[in-house]
Amino acid sequence: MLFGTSGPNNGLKLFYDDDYKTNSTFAIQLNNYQKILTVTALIVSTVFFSIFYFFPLGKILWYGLSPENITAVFGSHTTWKIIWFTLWQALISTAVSLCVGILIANILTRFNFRGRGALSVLATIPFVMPTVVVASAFLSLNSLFKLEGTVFSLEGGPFGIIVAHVFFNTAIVVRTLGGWWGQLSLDPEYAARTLGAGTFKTFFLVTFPRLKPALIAAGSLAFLFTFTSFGIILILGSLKEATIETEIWRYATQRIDINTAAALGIAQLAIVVLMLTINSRLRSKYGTSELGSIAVSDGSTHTTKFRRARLYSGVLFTLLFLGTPLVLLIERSLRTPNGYSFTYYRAIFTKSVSDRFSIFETRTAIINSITWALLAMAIATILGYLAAVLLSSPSEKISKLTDVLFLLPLGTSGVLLGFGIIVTLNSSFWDIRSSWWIIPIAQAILGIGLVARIVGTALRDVNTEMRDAAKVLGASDVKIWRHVDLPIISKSLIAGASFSFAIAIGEFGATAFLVRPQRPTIPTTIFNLLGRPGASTYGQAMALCVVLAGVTAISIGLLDRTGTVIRDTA
Amino acid sequence: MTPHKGLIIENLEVSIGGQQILHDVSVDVEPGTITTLLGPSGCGKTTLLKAIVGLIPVDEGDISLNSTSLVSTPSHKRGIGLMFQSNALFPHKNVERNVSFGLQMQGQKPEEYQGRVSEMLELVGLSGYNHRNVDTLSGGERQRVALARALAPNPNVLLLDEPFNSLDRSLRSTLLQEVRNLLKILNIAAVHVTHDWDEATRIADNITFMKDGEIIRTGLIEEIIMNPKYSIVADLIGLESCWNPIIFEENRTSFFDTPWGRRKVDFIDPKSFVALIRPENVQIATGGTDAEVQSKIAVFGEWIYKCRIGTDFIVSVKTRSNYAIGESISLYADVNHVEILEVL
Repeated sequence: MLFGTSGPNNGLKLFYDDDYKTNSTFAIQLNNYQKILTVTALIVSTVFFSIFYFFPLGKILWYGLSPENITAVFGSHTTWKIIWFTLWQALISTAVSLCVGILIANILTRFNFRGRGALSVLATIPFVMPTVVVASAFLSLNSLFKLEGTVFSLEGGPFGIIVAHVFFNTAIVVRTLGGWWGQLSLDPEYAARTLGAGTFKTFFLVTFPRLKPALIAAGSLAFLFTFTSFGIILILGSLKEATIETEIWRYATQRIDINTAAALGIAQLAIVVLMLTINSRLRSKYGTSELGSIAVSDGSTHTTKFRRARLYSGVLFTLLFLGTPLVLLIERSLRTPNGYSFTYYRAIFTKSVSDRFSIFETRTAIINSITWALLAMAIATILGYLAAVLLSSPSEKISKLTDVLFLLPLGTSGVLLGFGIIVTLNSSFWDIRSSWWIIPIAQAILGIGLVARIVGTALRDVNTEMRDAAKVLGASDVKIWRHVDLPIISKSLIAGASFSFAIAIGEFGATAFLVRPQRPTIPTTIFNLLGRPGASTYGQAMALCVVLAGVTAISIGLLDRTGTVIRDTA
Repeated sequence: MTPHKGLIIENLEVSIGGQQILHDVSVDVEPGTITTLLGPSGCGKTTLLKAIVGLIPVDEGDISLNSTSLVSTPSHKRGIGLMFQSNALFPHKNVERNVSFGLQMQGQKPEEYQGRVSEMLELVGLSGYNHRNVDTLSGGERQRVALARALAPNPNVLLLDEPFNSLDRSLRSTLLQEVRNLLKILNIAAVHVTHDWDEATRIADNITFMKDGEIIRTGLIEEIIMNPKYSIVADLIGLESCWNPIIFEENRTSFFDTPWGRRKVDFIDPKSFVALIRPENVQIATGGTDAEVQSKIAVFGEWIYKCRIGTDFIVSVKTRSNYAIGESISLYADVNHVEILEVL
């Protein structure tokens, strides 16, 4: 499996995990070791987030919130047009993703067929694919089917943006929904059928309402990603279609209009916060009582002609919709004017001498990307673990506070963070903007929230009684951590690490602000290559996409495998 | 079998995923009677229920109700109710919405089903629970709601799949008694599934034993007790003291030895069999065979002792007198009370 088993530690499930408080019913007794850990975690994460997150964000507020600025920006018709487009494209692609995701998740959880495992991996691949890769894949789809100039053109209009977002978000929906759906008992469905409900009535009256918590979680995630999407809109929108995210980037880097960019950033932040609030309201309204409290039915479903037709069409659709862009990407990277060859791959791995610009120095980009992503992973994992300690703290005050604290970075867009950092951390005597290490730090911030939530869920599995049992059996505080806490959370720690690596290596929004021409990353190089005409640069962009996709997939696969091994030997 | 208006299952063959689960199963449930399917787990009881209600397709054979075949009717049009081991209540609906679900499916409006829902809730002893959230109910109350929900559309047959398994023993027996009374009042036929003889005797009129997807024995409770016929049936109804006798022949007649003499095996007896002596047919009396008490349990104010005779012969005896484990007693039994049970 790509991200480990779909057990309770699944990262995406965290959006509807509400079991935070279960431990508070136990007597709260922290051992000395835990006290030290909690205090360290509090200090380290407060300092880190203050410098690299809240200070930059505060600076944006500072720039954006002057009354004249607000009236100027929000009095303009263009601003509202941008906000409106950002909202409706996000809502439509979320809605479509939910529908498509329900269909695929249904096939994956309610049907038994050969190749189901492979299909479920395929259905989750788009989620870890960097946005520039997804955008490039749809560009090549556009040229293959000669869609340019037609209503279905995937480039330069909202259609392509929505389709690419659906492709990307379907994976999120399938992932979130699948884990939940698979754990729902079939009995209520059977009961509905024996009480006279047909297939559709059973779905809409019984299955669908029970899926609501997962749909809310998946929907909010999909909306969040789409609302703050950058790479896809920049590449497929070709600057004709602008969203808040791309406009922040354009105003900040091309028009050098910091105030307008900041005002747009505030608008974005406000909508994200509103969305997160709605999400948490809905979450508490629909609860999670059913999950885990039911016996899973044997799943012996019977095959009628209708079901078989549903299965075949569903599998075919999944293969075509999710498989074609990825296969095509590989095909395009191999196709040269002189037939299929590895020319473009050779080109991206050799040091270029002909190009005058080092932004096309692909080999450096690959090395940079991997190094920085590894660093970002290390930072995100350590800080994410510390954050998880706070999240799962028996003290409700600490856990609630950190919950809010780390939800915000999770919902903050890369562009906003990158923008915040460049306007903030450039004091005249120490210009951090030109230091390379700010890149992995920015990439790490975008991953910490996810690591914290994945590990936090696992940490809550380690209850006080378990630690007490170890203590009574003679384990010291450190040994308790080594033999009880660590083995239980190790798998989640590794899952979190691989996620943060994938986020970092594919990160484009913040990186786009922070890279210098002499220090490119893979995504920025792909973007630059795509912006230059010519078969050779296009081919190299595609080859670089395949390399990026490959590194991402392999790292997640490898880390996941070691994760299983560590867990088993612990 | 005489044709009747109840549920008739004839020569049913069912397979799941290429593996045959039910072999030539025939069951007759006359109108207003309750049949219990009894068998070890994995014997195909639940599969049979799912086939009856139409959740699993049948390969061969027929299921008919009121002399009409149901095989090609989709499950939501069969008019057969089902109660699940998990109560399978709809967690997102309140009590009233759960109970009225089947009536809504028939197209009834709230003002039409309101009366029926209240009537059903009263029948199961939950009057006034209409607007309660199902999360707030106890295990027993949930199963009562599930019962009301299954009965509300007035099904021709109700199927019960070990419905009270998750409940504690005393609540389970109370509910079984109530369900039986209700089914009799409403004159609804039922098929009930369990692996527990005690539960079966509390609700059933007829008992059907299943093993490995086949029906092995059907009968009234008293018939089964009088003559279990098969060793597995004896085992399921709690008659444990069976043994594998060693057969020998003399003058073309077969015999086996018991501690109380020789038992003749008639030629009509089955080829493969075990011998059984019931606890009430063993007496504690001087001059019998020496035995040592191995274990004891108290049932309905009497002791049942498991005793060892010789090195490995175990026999049960029922008495009110108290003996200690390890104590020696003398046991007597009439060799004619030794029964022979066929091994399948």
